[in-house]
Amino acid sequence: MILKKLNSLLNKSTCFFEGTIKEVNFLPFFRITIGLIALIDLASMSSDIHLFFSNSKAILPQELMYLESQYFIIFQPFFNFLINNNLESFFYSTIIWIYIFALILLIIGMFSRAVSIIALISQLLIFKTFPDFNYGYDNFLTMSLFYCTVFPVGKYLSLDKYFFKTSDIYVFNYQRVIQIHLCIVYFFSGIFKSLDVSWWNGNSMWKAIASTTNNYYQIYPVILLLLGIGTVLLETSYIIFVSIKITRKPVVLLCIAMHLGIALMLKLYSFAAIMIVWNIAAFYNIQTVKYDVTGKVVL
Amino acid sequence: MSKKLTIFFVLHFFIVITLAAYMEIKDTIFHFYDKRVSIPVLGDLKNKVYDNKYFTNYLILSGINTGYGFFGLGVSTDKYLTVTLYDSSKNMIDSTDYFNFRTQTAYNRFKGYASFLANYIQETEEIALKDKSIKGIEICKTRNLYINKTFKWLGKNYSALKNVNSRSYKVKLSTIVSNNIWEENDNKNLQIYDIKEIEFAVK
Repeated sequence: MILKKLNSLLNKSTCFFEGTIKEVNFLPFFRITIGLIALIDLASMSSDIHLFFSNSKAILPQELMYLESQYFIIFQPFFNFLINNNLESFFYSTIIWIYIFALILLIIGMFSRAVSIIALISQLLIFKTFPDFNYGYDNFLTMSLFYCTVFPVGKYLSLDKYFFKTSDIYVFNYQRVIQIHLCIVYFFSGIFKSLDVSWWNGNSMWKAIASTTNNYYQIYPVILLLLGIGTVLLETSYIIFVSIKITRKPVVLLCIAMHLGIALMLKLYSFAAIMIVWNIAAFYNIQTVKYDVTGKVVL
Repeated sequence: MSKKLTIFFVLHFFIVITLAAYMEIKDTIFHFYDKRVSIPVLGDLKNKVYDNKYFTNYLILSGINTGYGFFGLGVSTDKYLTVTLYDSSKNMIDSTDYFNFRTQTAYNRFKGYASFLANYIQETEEIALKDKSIKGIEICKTRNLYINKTFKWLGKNYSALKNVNSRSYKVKLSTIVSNNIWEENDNKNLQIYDIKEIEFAVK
């Protein structure tokens, strides 16, 4: 009885993930933009990366950076191994180049899955050694690279396709995965904000943008109030309005505008970029292809 | 294949949702009641399953070992660190809050660290107030050592690069005082509060 119910639940879930219409450009768009964002973010801090990640020039000793984090149990034996085998300087000098090389191959779609795994591991090895200097962007990049290893991202517009002549058909709607994840992110983020009265009266908005390096703290309270309430309502209701076809486009556009605002006011450019990419990848239909039940393309 | 992928992603999102819910409930209770309580079911799932080393590896690899409450409850104001170098007569030689950073991307990460340090200092002070046991005292001692070492290193690196005449340096962690925007003129000027400052001699 239970097994029967489980099986029917699984069939329903499979239908939800399969669908008959698939966005063919989603996979190359996701692969290329994620690779580009990771590369640009690294390039944008290239002259400072040694202050976070180096065996002698870092702003804090490397072990002090991950001492108070959950990664300590992983990195402590790892770095001990490197030190004991005199591999520390080799590691610091090569891992960034491995990461860059893997990202370039990911962008052009050469051995896409294998290089996704290499990029993911390199990203973790580089950026999680200074977790207290991480922010939302780093987690979203890890998630994105993880999805690149799971999704067949080399199926279209890639050198893999050119050299290995892979099949065009895929039976799983991978775009749905990003859609669900994005809905979860905004829902929890919105609920969390809605519990705080400061988001409903504009004070949280002021706290988020006030800085000694800009004049945003002088913005009129009414504007901050509207922005604060707007953010809470947009994030909390995102899951509902993207499910309705008519409201999908305006909601995604509003979210993109919100992230552009984050980029402009908080100067979190990479975070804003990756969230915009997730929104576009999840809900923008660039070119859809309809499949029949056997998985063949319906013309 | 499709069924296997469906099972995988259903389980994946089950973890994402339960972890996010656990973190939000825990932080919400702490924010409103100022206490850490164990959360039934979700707490057990987190402590007994997700904290298992194999699971932890999966969470780290997939990047889902995080909550989504960024800028959520109790948004904090901007925090920043400053280092000031002094000569032997206690005259100021140099001062910066940019340290040696040249790029905005890296400096933003550094500002995030200032927020982390501010929370860490506040938590340490709370532990010192609430927990008077030997274990509590030991924890505070270790945490204060970490704060001290961090401040020392931050200033030491800057001092070494900047000026050979510097004899001492002061590292300061400051915050913008939060205002009520609805009180007249309260958001027209920024007030700064120094959370902690420590002075070190250049060796």
